[in-house]
Amino acid sequence: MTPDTDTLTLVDGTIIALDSDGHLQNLECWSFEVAEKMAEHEGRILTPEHWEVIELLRDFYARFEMAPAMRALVKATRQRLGEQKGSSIYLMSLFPESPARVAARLAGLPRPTNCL
Amino acid sequence: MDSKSILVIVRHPPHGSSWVREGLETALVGAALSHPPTILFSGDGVLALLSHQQRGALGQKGSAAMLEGLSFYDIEPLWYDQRSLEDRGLDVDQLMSGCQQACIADMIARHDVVMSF
Amino acid sequence: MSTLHLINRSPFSTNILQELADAVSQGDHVLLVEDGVYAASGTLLHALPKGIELWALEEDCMSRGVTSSDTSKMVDMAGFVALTATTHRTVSWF
Repeated sequence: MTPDTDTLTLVDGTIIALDSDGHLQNLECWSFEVAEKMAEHEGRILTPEHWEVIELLRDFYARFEMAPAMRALVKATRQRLGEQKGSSIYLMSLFPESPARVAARLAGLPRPTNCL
Repeated sequence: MDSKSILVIVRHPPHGSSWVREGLETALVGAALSHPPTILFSGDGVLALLSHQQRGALGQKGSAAMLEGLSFYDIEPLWYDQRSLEDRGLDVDQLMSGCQQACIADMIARHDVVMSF
Repeated sequence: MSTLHLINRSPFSTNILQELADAVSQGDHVLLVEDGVYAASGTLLHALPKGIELWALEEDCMSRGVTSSDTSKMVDMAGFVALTATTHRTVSWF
């Protein structure tokens, strides 16, 4: 294992490998616990507001086979969670830095297509 | 100055190569950078619009699911060349939703940059 | 506001000229390059509507022994560059 590769350890001792961007190496490994551990690893705490976006992202990926970039994430959030939450400011407050990238990572998705 | 208008023309069929996905990803980059590009399916490219597509025999992703998601990037409608459809014995009813007929010569003339896939 | 269309595949193994026929507008230029120059002989270029300027890249013609054409004019690499500069956009029909 290369030095820049991080891992998460689950309660049952399972080791989950992350790539150099902090994404799951194997997307199939995702579970609620994995998301919790990833968030913890990144110093984040997941609230119900985070979870509803994570679930939305997983649905988006299952349906369209791509992780949404910011424009699409905002639009998908607006459709599902309403006008107020469907804004870049709201998403930025939940997932600081880069919402589309951070949320995709926590949801066990690949990097958003062409996310800048 | 206004940003340049971009037309992405998809001319290859899905599944057999990655041209369609490459074209879609280019369109997504365009949408992230500026005004969403126009996307047009011509020649064998219209085959990418057929509804009821599934994954490949080994579970490989096609492009149909991605196409359904383009409206989230404000890349809509999915324009198609009518002649290409007719040549292949197809009808608009066999295409996924959100498709609209276009004249390819007019489309090219109306855009600054044309990228073909 | 004309378009330069580039054909780089043999039109005998693809449907490209029929596709192109619907895509060109009056005043457009069509340039045959690489294996596209094989369209310079034969009658396939007649499928294109009138009012289109037809060119074949001299360097690619020479290397392939394509020496003359009734339908298209020869243009060298410098002329190719000039064509891209005088047209508004370029479309590659690979």
